[in-house]
Amino acid sequence: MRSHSGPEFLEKLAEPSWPRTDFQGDFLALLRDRGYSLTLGPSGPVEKSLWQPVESTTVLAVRYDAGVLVAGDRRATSGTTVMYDRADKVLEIDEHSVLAISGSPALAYEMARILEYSFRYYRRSQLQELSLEGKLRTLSRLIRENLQWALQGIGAVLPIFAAYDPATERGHIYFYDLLGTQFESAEFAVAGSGSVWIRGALYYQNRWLKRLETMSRDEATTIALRMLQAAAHYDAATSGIREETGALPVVKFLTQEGIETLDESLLRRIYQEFVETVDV
Amino acid sequence: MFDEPHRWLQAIENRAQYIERRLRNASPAVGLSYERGALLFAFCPPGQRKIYEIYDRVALAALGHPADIERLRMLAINLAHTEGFVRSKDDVTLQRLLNFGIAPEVKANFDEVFRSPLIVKVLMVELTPTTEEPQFFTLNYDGNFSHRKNFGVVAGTHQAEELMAETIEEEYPLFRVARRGAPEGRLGLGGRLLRSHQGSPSTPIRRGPRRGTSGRRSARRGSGSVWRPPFWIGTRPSRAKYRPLTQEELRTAQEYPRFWPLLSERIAPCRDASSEPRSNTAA
Repeated sequence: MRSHSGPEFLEKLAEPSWPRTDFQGDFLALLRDRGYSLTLGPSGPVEKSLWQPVESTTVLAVRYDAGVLVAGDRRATSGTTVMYDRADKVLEIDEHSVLAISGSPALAYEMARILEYSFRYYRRSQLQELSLEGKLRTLSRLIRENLQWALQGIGAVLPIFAAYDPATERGHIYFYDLLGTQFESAEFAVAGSGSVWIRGALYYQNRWLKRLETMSRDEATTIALRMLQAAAHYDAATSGIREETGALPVVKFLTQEGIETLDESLLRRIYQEFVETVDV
Repeated sequence: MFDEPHRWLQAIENRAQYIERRLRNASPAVGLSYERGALLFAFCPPGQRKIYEIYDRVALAALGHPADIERLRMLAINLAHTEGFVRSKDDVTLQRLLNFGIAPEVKANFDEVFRSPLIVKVLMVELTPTTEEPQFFTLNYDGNFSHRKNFGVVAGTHQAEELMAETIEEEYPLFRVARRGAPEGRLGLGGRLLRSHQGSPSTPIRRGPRRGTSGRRSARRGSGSVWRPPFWIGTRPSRAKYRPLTQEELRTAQEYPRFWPLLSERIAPCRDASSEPRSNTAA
């Protein structure tokens, strides 16, 4: 029978007998407490010849009359090799927010998973929804924590975060730099290797043709598909619309009602009617 | 002091009596299956909750000390989310959570006679991922837990729990057949069970009110006891199934069975919404 007196017993009594639960809704803190880290691996520079990250993309988000449209192509490449043509780069994080990823899919998917869990964990543990500001800060932290790997060339992630705020009945679009700074865009945001080709085109459209925020859902979809097709024309790492392989882009809408994914048949119809057959 | 075995046993005995004394007047919590999920019911004072979402398909109702409920709730949430993140949401099952996570901790806490005990009893429910059939588990303050398929009850005393279970089985034999009942009947039954055991956990009203019982019950209501939104699991199209009932649904449920038709009308839109296809491609 062990002794229930003396310094050893008092020491044992001082130890916490219950697992830590005081994370204040911070899922990252919980993960760290359980030994998890987003970036594990080499701390020094990595030879490019030894490591070819899977990356490249075109994703975009535009505000239209009912909310926000977010679209992305489906290709994942490693160097000059097409690794995968069905990558889903527009990810639903919760009922009101979407993450469009560009950069290294391994890290981007992990970030999306952490975000999704963070928001739910916060809601369940703190008994209220995380504010939009809180969601943005969580993503900023994740991007900043990945800075080391981004600078080493192992994998950078530069996403677009789109959210619909039911309180203000307004859609918001945010884009990020490598240090995790977020910028809110009034009309549109683009990211990925193909984005350089369409950023100016979207500006032109918004400035001199028709303002994006006055567009209907179909009009916004048409513009998004045209932009993805234009990006694919100049950027080998963007798949665009490839009907023959069935690799169609993903288009999602964030509105007051929640998130909706554009049906493939409707996407094909809009593509055939307004993208493929329209000649100047 | 505790170097001799019988003294340790005596300390454990005292501990159990102390907890049971503290729990004796606690308001019960009831969980009932219905055709498309499960309902949880509980009364609680203003500013407090007794019914919580734990994970996508897991929820908890508890009675006892609010701080102890909180410790247990956070333990369950942390375990479920860590497991779901590291492995998969499909690997988060209530059986595993209880067997390997929650129950051992509760048992260890109970056995540590120098530490403050958990004054708590827990009812947990899970919708199984494949069949969406509700599984009810009750966890005792000493870490012991048991399983029931179609309903679950926790109350201040074991007698009250047995009587509540009897009521359900006697008056609603359909409970023996999984998931036949419509939500309207479950709402009414759950509300009635809670009311009949409020403030008098060992004697249900249906067997005749005990002297002084109604007075005590009125006093509790007068001091601000409220009907808390029951947890409603299984009607949402999204991955997370939890949703509290609306105040309107509750008002009608409180008047059961007079307002059955009205309640049916209220619930109808929920059914329509849940049957709509909705894409969810989140990882």
